[in-house]
Amino acid sequence: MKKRSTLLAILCTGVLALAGCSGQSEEGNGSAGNTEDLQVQMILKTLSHPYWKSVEAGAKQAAEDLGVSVEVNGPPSEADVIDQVNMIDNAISQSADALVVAPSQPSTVANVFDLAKSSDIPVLLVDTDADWEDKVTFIGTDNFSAGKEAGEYLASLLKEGDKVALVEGAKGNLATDERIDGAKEALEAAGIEIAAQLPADSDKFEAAAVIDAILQNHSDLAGVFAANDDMAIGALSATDQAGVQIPIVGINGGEEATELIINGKLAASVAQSPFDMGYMGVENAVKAINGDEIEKRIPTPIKVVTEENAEEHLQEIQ
Amino acid sequence: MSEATMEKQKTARDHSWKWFLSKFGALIGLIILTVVLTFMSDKFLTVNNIMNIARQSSINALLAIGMLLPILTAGIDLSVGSILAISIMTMGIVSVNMGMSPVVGIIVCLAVGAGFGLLNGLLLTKLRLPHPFISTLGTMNIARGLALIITAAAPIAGFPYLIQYLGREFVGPIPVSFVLVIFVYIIFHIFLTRTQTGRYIYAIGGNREAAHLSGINVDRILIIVYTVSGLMAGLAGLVMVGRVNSAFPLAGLSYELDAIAAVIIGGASFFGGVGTVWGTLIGALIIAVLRNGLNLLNVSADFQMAVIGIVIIAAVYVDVLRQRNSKKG
Amino acid sequence: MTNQRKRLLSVKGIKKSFSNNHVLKGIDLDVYPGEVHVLLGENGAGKSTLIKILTGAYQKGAGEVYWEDQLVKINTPQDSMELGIATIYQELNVVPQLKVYENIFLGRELKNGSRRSMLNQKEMRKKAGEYLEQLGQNRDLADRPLEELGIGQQQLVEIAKALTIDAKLIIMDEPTASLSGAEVEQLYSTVESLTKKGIAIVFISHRLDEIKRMGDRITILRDGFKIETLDVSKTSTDYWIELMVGRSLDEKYPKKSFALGKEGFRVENLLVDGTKEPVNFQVNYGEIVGVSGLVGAGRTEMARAIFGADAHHGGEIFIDGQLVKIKSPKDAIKAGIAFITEDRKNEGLLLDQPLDFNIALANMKMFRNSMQLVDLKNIRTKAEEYIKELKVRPSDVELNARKLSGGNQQKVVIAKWLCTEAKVFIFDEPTRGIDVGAKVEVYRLMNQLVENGAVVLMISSDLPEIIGMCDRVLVMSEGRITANLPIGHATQERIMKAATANEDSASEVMKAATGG
Repeated sequence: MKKRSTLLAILCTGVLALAGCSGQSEEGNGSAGNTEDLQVQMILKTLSHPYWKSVEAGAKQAAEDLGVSVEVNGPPSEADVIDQVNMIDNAISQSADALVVAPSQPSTVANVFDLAKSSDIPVLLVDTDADWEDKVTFIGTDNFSAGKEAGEYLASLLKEGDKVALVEGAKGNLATDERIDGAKEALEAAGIEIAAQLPADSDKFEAAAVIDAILQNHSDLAGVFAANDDMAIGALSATDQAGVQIPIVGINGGEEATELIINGKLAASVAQSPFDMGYMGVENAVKAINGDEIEKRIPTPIKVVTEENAEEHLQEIQ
Repeated sequence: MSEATMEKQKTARDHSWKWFLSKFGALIGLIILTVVLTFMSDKFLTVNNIMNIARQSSINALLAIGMLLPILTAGIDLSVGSILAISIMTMGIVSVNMGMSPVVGIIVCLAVGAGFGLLNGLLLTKLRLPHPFISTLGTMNIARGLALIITAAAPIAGFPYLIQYLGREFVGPIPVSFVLVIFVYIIFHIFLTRTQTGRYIYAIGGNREAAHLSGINVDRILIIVYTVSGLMAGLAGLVMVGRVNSAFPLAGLSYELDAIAAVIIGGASFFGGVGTVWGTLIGALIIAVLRNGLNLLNVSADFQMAVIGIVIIAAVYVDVLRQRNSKKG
Repeated sequence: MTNQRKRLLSVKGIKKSFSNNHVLKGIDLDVYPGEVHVLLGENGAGKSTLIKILTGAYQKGAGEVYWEDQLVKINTPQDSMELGIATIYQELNVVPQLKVYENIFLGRELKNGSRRSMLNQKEMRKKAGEYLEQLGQNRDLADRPLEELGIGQQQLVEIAKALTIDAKLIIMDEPTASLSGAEVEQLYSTVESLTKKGIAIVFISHRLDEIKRMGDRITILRDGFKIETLDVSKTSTDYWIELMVGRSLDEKYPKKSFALGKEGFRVENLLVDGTKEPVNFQVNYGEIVGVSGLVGAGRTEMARAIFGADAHHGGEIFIDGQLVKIKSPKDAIKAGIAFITEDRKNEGLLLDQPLDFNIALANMKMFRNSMQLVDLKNIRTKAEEYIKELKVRPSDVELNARKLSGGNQQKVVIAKWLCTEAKVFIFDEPTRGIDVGAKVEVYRLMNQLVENGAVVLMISSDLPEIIGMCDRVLVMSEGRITANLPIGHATQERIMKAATANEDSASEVMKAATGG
């Protein structure tokens, strides 16, 4: 008797847990879906990171403004690639009106996108592009411009003939490579000498090691551009250790980097706009459903965060 | 005399109760789950979605049936996720980068999987490492490291159709991958219940020393067990590649945990000797249905993890109750 | 005489059931200070359950427990301990890695007066030494790691533990089951000294000779009922057995003699791991050969070496005069050897598998059909035959082995080996821990095996059993065979002398034994 009731209790708990969570989402669906029947499904790399929460917030805002229903989903971690593919699958079988995807592993989504195409569901990409012909558009940071703006800002702090170092991401990472190209162009135009250009795999510690090595050869180094914030922070720890004070510029405008800008440690970081990616993702998805013409490539705004606007930016991202 | 009849009644009753829990506990869970989800989402019980679940469960189902064998011998195989990765990366190199025939690619994929499984078995039986937790933890890291090294972490895409067939195609509305799962499960069912080696696997898990003293070559059986587990990881990898037309070195990261969860939810005992093929299938389906259902209900992934955790604990608790019950009697 | 004294423990009308299974159906028991009170009953009669109620491991269903004439409630092991009840189980409750004094004070460590968190090791060592001295041991024993001690001494450590809680009642569950002869003697004198202090002993044993020697009173249980309490000295063991099994047994040892045939099994120059001198012996058709000796004499090791279970260094085994190569149990089974191990639960059975699987396990090959698949129906039929033949209860082949009593489990193990169609049967302590009725059935089965042309070797620590059932006895000491006695010449004294022979006296004993 006792065992049977325990078993029952377990089952009930499970059912209640299910009921509890579904209750919430049903409410959410109800209020958004009433005004119009359009349903946009957004599947991100993950939702367990402030950056992606910010994309989600943008999408929800657009849903409210446009009166459509948006569901945002993402696996527990960016490494759960197949989970993400499954989520896209589920969205297709729920006959979503449009899909907005930030692929964790761009090479894995082509097959499932083909499936969406055969169901006539338009697919938009945000944040990370994928090599798939039939996408409606890719909405994300123009990495070249971001790099260029960073380079221009760094150049403005230096004088002609100064030496700088460029810290790249992992070999073959398209996004970081484009940023480096942009920065290089701006710096060279201002007559700054590129003393060294080395990869640090988007990793803090690797970047610190790279800068250590560069400082050995170039004691007169006058500035550093790193292709993301993490590497900029790593570079900073290396220059601090060497007792050198030079301007360092990164990309992302994340919280840690912004705080370091406020403290005067980092010179600047070029912020991406995850909120805008989410918002524009939904906005353009609705356009695509309505059959409007859409640009194949839509850049999202970038902003150079410096000591002047860092406080304000910090509040925004928090 | 009355004692004899009482004894008889008692065993009959005990038997049915135990039978009920061990054979149908997981199935009842799956049915309840299905009913609840059908009520909560009108999109759940559709042909389309059921086929989605079938397809989404297939990779884990293949890993789980491989995992069942080590668990039946009171062991574990932590390396299946990594073996999956190294298998598909080598297949990618052979069939995409080197442009060899897809048949060679498939053979390489399965052979690499079985080879790493064999390595697990040899480490356990020949080096006499104290527990498969350790040997497979080692190969887990070795295989993952190699998967990252061989292409410098770059993914490989553009596989030939034949390789993609299992993971991508449909027979009518039914995904080929699920047909494969059913086929493999039938083979395993026959293997485990009707072959000498299969019965020995249960015997070793039930009591290794008794098995040894009953003339069973325990080492040989364990080597087979881990080799088969590795082979299934290779096969699961083949299905995954078909599904996404891409091989990437972080594929299958922490999949061993889902596979273990499926086996345990399916009623297998961590102490070995107890567990069935069909229970494992139901375990894998429960996980897939939960993921899919919670997904349809737009429940966040973080919450999904918590729910699956609760299900694992509940399933094992039922097993504990059953054990306690049977020991007392 | 006891009636005038105050009762230490008195239980009245104790009942206990598990779900619908009534294990105790009303037990009364009185225990007086300073007596050795024996509980006797077949497996499943309710002895263990009664003990577990007294120690607080189980809750009683109905009835009352009085301690020194006060009504008490024993809800937890803690309650039982506080009253002064200590229990020594067959499987000792000790931590091998800890030292003796640490074991004695385990869970009740002495602390320093001033700093409550610090252990007072000096005091514990001293106290432990004193208790050990009271038990006739050297006080230095307190400082040795427990794992260095033999089973007998480990048991004394448990008794010392009981003394530290001022136990007035010590319950011993088959304390002699795993002891050698000398250790048993030691235990007898320890028990004597305990009862002199007024400590009562409740003693569970299957060995009737031991009960006769040690017990004051005996309470016989059957099917959850108390049958009777008797004075040990005024009643006969046959009467106890009759009360215990509810019918009279024809014979305790139903020995049948057959004509001695030719040699069936021979071991030559077998070097068992850890011994220097090789083992040589042979067994003929028509006889049962016993192997006696103290625990640790190397009997089980020898059997395992013959069977290929452990490595052995050299030596040859002949069956029907033919040399057989044995490197693993698999080879041994192929050669026609069966090894019924001492430890049913850990070495014999798959406890969570059904009986038919257990029975077929060692000869799965026999059940393969033309497609190389195992024929489940055939296994079932065969298992049912054996279960019927050996009278296994309950007789359901689908039942898991765990559900059976010790005696029935032993029958299943025997069935497994019968199923291999072996020619040579090595029994290792085949009747340990099983009740009298089942013992007789095992003995009858051995007779039957010999009659049907098998060779039987039986390792046993139970001397009456060896003398009662065997035609010849080999005695081992320190890994060597120190005597080979026809049963007509084997007295308990002779066997014991050979069993305690050391290397120097061995040849002498051998001579004396074979000569006499």
